[in-house]
Amino acid sequence: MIRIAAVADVHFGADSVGTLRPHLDLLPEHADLLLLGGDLTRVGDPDEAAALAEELRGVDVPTLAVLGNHDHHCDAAPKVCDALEAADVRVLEGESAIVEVDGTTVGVVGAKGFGGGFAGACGSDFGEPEMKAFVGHTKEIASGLGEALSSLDTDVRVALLHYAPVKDTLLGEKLEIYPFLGSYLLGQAIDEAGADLVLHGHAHGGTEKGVTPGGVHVRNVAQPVIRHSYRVYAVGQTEASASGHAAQALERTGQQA
Amino acid sequence: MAQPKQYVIGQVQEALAHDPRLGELDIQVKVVGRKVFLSGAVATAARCAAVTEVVRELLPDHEIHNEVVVAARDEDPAAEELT
Repeated sequence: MIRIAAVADVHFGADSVGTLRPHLDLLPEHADLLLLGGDLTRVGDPDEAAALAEELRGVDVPTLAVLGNHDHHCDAAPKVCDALEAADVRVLEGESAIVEVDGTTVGVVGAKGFGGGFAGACGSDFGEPEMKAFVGHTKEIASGLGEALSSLDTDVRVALLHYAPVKDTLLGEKLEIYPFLGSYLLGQAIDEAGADLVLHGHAHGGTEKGVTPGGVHVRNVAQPVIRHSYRVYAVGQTEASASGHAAQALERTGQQA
Repeated sequence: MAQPKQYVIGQVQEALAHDPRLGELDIQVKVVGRKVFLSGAVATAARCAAVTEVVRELLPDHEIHNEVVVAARDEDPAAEELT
């Protein structure tokens, strides 16, 4: 099986330096790749991303990430991505990366996602331009997510998001803010395309475990939820290998959404 | 006349989000009379302390109860098998 370490919402800042790296030194013994589910920085300052990148530099497993809403706050998302990519952290948005581990291929589609709410209590792209833009942004991301997942022909398929695709993993959050925490359109796109695992963050007060209406495992890996540096999920059909080491190849495919 | 507490809560949440020391959107705020209760998790001890500072500056005549914790970062290498 493929061992996927995941965490979201580390909210790195200058005051975070040194808090993460000591917990990642043994990561290659426990996981084949590391996925970061957005809100990597406090307010999206590229210096914060550079601080996180230094903590991640040299972690000996392929590391993939999506951005979260905090990472956009300074309107400097491209520089945030540049800082992370300088430390070999691949940032995905509407695109996929394929990692091969001991002959098993893992396809990871990354997308920030967005809000809108869940079936029966959600927004529509109707009325004012601002409302159309809000829901339209979610629809565009969900469409790109579905297309990228559908195009993957790998042994294992993983969707890496920031916003939640289901309500299950929001349990504990206030009902009133559900529309700002995720959208059922993300879950629908995943169910239509198929996946083995969905990872997300954003909902600090939520719950770790959930499932899409179509039966795909969903895990909320927001750090305040998992209460650890990361969680590890083993997926796939092959036997786990204690000595399995990470990827021989990391290939980036797809187009920007 | 004192503001209704809903507006006080809104002011506190805006301050926690926009103060340059913080950028926190996930702090729960409860106001009971002149007491403000703050809960949730932040990434560092410095930000936990800044939560108190920011709210105290905004509401100097209120009693601040900061119950915010620093999110734990220890390892948990045990894998959950998903089949």
